Amino acid sequence: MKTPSQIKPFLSDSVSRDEDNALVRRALKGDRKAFEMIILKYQQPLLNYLGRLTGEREQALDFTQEVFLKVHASLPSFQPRFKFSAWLFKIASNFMIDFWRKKKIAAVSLDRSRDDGENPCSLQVPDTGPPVAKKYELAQIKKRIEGALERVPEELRELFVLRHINEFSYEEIAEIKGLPVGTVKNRVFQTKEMLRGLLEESS
Amino acid sequence: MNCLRPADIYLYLENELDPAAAREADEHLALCPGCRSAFEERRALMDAVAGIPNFEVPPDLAGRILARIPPDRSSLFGGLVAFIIGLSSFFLGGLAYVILTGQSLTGFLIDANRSAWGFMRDASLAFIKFAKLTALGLDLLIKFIGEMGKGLALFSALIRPEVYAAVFLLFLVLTALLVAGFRKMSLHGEKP
Repeated sequence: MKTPSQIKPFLSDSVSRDEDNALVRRALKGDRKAFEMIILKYQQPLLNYLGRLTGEREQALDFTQEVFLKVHASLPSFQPRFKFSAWLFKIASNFMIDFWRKKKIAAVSLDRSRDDGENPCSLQVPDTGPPVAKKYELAQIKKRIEGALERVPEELRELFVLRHINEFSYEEIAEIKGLPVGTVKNRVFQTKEMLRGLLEESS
Repeated sequence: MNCLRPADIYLYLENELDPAAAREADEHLALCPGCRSAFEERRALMDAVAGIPNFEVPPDLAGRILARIPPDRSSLFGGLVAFIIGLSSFFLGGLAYVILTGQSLTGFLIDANRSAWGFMRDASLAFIKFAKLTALGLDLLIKFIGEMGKGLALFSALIRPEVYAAVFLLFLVLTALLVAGFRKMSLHGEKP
């Protein structure tokens, strides 16, 4: 099992970047096999992302198809100086924003003080009571985390998923979401402490 | 050092602290049981997060997506345009020929058919002749190389070893001069 200290961006190396750019060039020339290879490479991370955001596998599968169709239609606008995976997840992120808007889900009103923190450590959560980890076994915690994650506001959940499920770096997430790196770090940290709080509540 | 803030603990777990801060955190964790407990708790949480399973991808997902992407219109369109232009040229050419020569359309089609077959026949014959000539040329070349070998063997048997060595030395000197000349040319960009 991966430990947090072993986390690495899943597609950050230059080989993968060159490979992606070559596949995009071929796909743009009408090579369907090349686009199929792009799908096979990104279907799992994209489904994980959409699955964790919607909470439903079937809906996430439909959305995965829609996002790949959008990616295919937008390929001519892809610029090789950007990282393809970040570009793809930007499209997916915009898709989810549209979806939430259509569903008229109330936008999460984030406290200003959390946003403009160059110092991502401004929010402190006191350690009270016995540690959560000691109360449950790992497998139980995983189940509980999956449940608790669905209770986290979408905006925060998305950043958390990009960081800890899709394993993007904070800089890449900042690029995908168009946010300052400090804000991303702050919100991801806030989500983790929120999850911790939810786990404690449910114990 | 002061006690670690929760945010710093997470950054430490993700190797996001700078080396100096990470070293300080290491030292502090070794001394402070409270921070160590907070660290262990968050590590367990993050271990659990890292172990959240993937959603299962159906094996035919890529096929389903590709089936929804229409075939590349540009190549299809390009092929169609080329075909239409070719067909139109043939009919326009035929029409011009019929008008200019006063020949009937049926007669033109018969002539066109004959011309096509005539071209095929002539091209086949030309190809066969070319193949025969190539085979003859190859045969001649092999014989020539064989005779050259024999001549060289006879020459080396007749001449004295000193002459043989002198010829070989001359060949080496000439080769060295040629190589040096080419090298100079390439370095200075001189034209021959």
